[in-house]
Amino acid sequence: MTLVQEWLGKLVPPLADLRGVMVSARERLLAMKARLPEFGPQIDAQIAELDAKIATLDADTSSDNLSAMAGVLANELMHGPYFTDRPKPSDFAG
Amino acid sequence: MKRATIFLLLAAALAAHPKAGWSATLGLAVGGQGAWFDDGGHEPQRDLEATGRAALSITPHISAVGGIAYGFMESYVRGSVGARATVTDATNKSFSIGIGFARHFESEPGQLDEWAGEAAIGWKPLTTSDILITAAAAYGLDSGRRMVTAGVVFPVTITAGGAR
Repeated sequence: MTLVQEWLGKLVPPLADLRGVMVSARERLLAMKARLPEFGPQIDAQIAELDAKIATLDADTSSDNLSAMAGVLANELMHGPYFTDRPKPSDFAG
Repeated sequence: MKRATIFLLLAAALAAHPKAGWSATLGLAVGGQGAWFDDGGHEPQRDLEATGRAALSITPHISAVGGIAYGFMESYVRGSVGARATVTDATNKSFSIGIGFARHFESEPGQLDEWAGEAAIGWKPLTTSDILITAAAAYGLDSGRRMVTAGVVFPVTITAGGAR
């Protein structure tokens, strides 16, 4: 694996690691809930969404069902809770 | 064809799994940068620019971006407006990369005056400051002229809508 491949692999979680990313995100949400109990209901809602997505992945483990996997990935890219800085630093380049 | 494909991809991403709780975040930044232009029917050109940028984060990974820059050596004004899909390093959220397209404008021949594909990186090196180190490359879809910029900007972030 070249340095560039390793770097790109860090930037975009590979599809195969998607479940691990979501489980990790769920753990971080639980930790956040412990620190910020006043946001418990909102965090619970996010956890419930993640649980549903993880269940979707677990129910459909066929590696060739790219449509389902791509749908989950697209949803994570659009709404995932673990990339929160907005706008991104690169948005100011140009 | 290239532009239509880019528009379709971004529209599909925006339409995917719409949800309630949408919020947008606007960021503004000012700074300075070096700019290099090459190929595409004009002489190579380089300059030092003062720049002002704006970015509207529509979703965590789709942003509308725009900016204006003044070149001190050649006394030009150039600008761009476009959209980018951005991702953040999963282990270092101070670093991100963006890929998109923009319509570029110029006051004098020598920069870009056309649609261009873009790639950009941004890094916040300090935890005690919001200062950003940025770099971008653009490729004119009509002329093939290339632009590379690298510099430092200071962002100001304005948040509206529900927290995410």
